[in-house]
Amino acid sequence: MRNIMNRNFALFIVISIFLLSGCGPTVTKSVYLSSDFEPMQIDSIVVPLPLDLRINTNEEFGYWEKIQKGAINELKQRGYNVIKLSSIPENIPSVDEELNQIHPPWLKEVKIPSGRYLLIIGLVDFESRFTFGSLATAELTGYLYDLNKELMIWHNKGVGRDGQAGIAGMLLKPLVTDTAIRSSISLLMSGIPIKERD
Amino acid sequence: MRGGGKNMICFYASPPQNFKKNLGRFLMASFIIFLAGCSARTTVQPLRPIVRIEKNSINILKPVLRFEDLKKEKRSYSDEINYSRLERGLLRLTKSNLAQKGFSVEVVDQEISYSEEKSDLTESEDLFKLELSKGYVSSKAKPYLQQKCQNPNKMLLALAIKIYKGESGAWFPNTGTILPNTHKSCIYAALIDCSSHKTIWKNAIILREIPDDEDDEDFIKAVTRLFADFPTPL
Repeated sequence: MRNIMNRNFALFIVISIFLLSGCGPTVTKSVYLSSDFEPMQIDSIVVPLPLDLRINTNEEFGYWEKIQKGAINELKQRGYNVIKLSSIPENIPSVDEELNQIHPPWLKEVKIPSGRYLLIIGLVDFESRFTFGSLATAELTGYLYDLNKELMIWHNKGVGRDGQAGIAGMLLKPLVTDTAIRSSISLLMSGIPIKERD
Repeated sequence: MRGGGKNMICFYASPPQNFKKNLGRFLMASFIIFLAGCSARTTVQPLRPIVRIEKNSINILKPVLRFEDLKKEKRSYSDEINYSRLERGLLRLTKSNLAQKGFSVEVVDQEISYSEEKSDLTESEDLFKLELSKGYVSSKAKPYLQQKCQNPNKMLLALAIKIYKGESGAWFPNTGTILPNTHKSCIYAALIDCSSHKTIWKNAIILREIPDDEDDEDFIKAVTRLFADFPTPL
């Protein structure tokens, strides 16, 4: 009897280890990762509200804070300290080509209250619609800049999508939208290297 | 009893007939809704009031075509896309749309060359054109704009297409999960005044597919819609 209990306990431990190992943050390939990106050197990252880089900026989108919060959580899970900004700093261009430069000339004009590293996230595309069910797609782009060196040190993209068929799928539209957004944040931030804790 | 028998027959016969009819209607409606979701869709700004401008002569810059793989495979070129035909199509449609509005148009820097390896000069010129097509004039692009905009009585039209290859749509019958495809083509256009270097008009449209050819019906519709609120000459 004790033997069976011991065996079950061992099995429980093995399964728990497997499950817990799957819960930690994972790192995937980024679009661009500079050799200047040294996680241990980064004390804190400033995260302002995301930019609107969509074609139709008139279309309503109520998830700006959700994206910011999601990105902050992902950074914290990776071991970084975060400074949240409830606005977008001045002089940041809302054109993808301007953001995507190794030495952006506009970076020297950007002023933030504190911190050296600035994470800019942009919503490039968003679609949430009904079909025979509901579908949602969200595309995010992200850039991490070193303000002291006036340098882009990381860039990545994340495209999240979800959908559910049928009448139930139509009713689940808010959930489908939420999943697509969360998935895009997770894919975007999965390229940030993990900072080893001291 | 006879009547009752009739009624009974009706009673037994009608529910399955109604059920079949309703099921048929339901399936037909579902199919139509499903098909509606399958057609090529576009995202564009709502139509704005058309403004009238003094100048009536436009120089069109050769369009920039960019390819990007959303699966991060770091490809900047795809053999699957017929670049020259799409460029030709965009130019042809743009010229006809502007001519209909009453403008005289001329295409500048017409040489067409596509290769996987681009020189730094072509690359930076393409970047300037791409920014201009979004109506953005950066400090770096100003000398380029001055070079292309020597006649102050003219206007400059910058065009660009960015093609994104994403993932195809999918359906998982066991869970009911459906996934939209993430391929798309973004077409940008901006009209810049050569005397002030300011953007007079700009627009962009997302076509949620990769056009096969310049004659692709959805591509033609998208370009036509792009210029729907383009200014008209006085």
